[in-house]
Amino acid sequence: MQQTINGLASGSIYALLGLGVTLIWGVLHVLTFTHAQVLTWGAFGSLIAINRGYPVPVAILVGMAVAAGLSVLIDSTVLEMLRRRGASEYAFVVATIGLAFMLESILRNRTRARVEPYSRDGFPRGPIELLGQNVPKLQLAVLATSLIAMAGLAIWLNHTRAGRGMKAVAYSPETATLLGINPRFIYAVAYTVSGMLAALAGVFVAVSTASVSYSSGDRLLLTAFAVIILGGMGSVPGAVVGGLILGVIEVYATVHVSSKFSEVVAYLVILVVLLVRPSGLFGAKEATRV
Amino acid sequence: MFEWIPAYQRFLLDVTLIDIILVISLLILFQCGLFSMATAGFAAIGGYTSALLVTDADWPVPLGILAAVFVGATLAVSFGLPVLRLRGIYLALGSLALAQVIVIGIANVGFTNGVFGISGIPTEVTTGWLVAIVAVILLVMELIHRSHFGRAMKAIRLDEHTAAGLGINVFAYRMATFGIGGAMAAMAGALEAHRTAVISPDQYDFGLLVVLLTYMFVGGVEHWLGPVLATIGFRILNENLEFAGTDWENFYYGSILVVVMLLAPDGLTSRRFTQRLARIFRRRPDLAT
Repeated sequence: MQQTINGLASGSIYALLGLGVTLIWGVLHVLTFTHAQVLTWGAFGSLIAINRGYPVPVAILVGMAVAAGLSVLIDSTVLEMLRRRGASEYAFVVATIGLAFMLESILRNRTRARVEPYSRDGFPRGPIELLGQNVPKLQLAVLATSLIAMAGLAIWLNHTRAGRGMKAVAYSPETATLLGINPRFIYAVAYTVSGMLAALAGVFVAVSTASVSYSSGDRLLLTAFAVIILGGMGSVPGAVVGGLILGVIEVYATVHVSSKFSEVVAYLVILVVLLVRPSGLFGAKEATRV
Repeated sequence: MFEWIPAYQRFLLDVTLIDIILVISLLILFQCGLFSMATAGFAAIGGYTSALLVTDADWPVPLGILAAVFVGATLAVSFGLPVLRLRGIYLALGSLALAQVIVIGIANVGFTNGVFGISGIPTEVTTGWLVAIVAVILLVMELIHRSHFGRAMKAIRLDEHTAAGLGINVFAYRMATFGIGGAMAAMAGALEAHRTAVISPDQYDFGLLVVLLTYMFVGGVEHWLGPVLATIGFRILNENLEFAGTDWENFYYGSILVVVMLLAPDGLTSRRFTQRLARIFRRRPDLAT
């Protein structure tokens, strides 16, 4: 039981990550390899604000602003140019890999590859008694945040003008343009939301490890991909369910097999899901088959 | 045969030749429309297979390298059977996950000596071997390029449904290519192991893949000559730039990848790019008048 709670806690961070990646995939059909770097930059943004003495909520907002700004910058420069020339799928992958390397390299040089301490002051601390189990308050906060983010995204996508516009653009940018929707604006909105979610995840990662470094996000990139493949690429509830399941599997793998084994869980999940059911749990359509 | 070259230059030549084999193993897949990210994983398999057989089981080095090639091809084919029905991004992700599983697996099991790697591997691979192997590979690549096989691969890359309609067995070609690619990457890994005497899991990380992608896309994906020239060019450049080996090296590879994807997604030697350049240069005199 305690293990399941721990798994759900780390899983809810994965869910936040997965939500950001799945949103971009759903709207733009681009797999953003920069997502882990956006997360790290967001975490550093909040770290700087905290070190300057700002209260935690403000610091989180600063981190989200940094990550959202960075995401929109990437989208409106490199990705926009690629879209204009109708580049093929692999070009987006290669270009975002290149961008991720540039972003990591900049951070690495700015921080001189040091691991910076991340203060836990002001974040929820200590355990709370719930159903006879000790639940750390921080993990409860993370879980609540990801569930709220999922619900908010689902309501926004289905019941607001901007959200429905996003679905229209995802279906066909040309048709959406004819209907008076500006796809470029929609892309910017999608990247803003995705960046903000990444920053939230980054702050939670930094708080739970009490540190942040240029490589904080490295391992999380493929974890995020595992989440959305498991949940179904482009599916909002899939990202949350996939994230929670992956978190629980990882904890069980650590307890019952070994902590080393938990490192490969995400990759094995990618392989198994692709082989058995490429559309994932909630995926609308299958990956193309011969 | 190549002893007249100073030691350091010979070392650079060896490294470049092994990089060329790795780039070709990536290129041959791409020419068949397969964007696979498993190269580093297959190189790790090759390196460890040969290194373990030679150091622990006392196999002769050439036999170890042959075994590495065989294991690489077998693994690629057995992985390809289920995975090659995936397309595009799904194949890229699946192959990347496979490479990660291989490398993390090697770092965490006992008989590979974990993260510490293997040292004291016999180094019998000389520059002469490498030159001969690369020459054979490039010759075969040129023969493939000019043959029915090469044209079929190009047809599959451009439009697999049309290719299938023309009577090309798309799945068989992809399987064959995947096997060859895996075998070549494994061979490069084995040769590298017998060149440096020391291997460890962290040398097969994501960075290796990024460097290889840079070489391939800068050189162009249409003909093997482009990536080969790019590999040599980058090595020369690397030796003459002062930030090589520093933390900025990643920045430099990353930015080159981005710029190439923006200017010439099929590489600097691709027909699309050269024709565009030609148009630009032809227009210039008009502007002057």
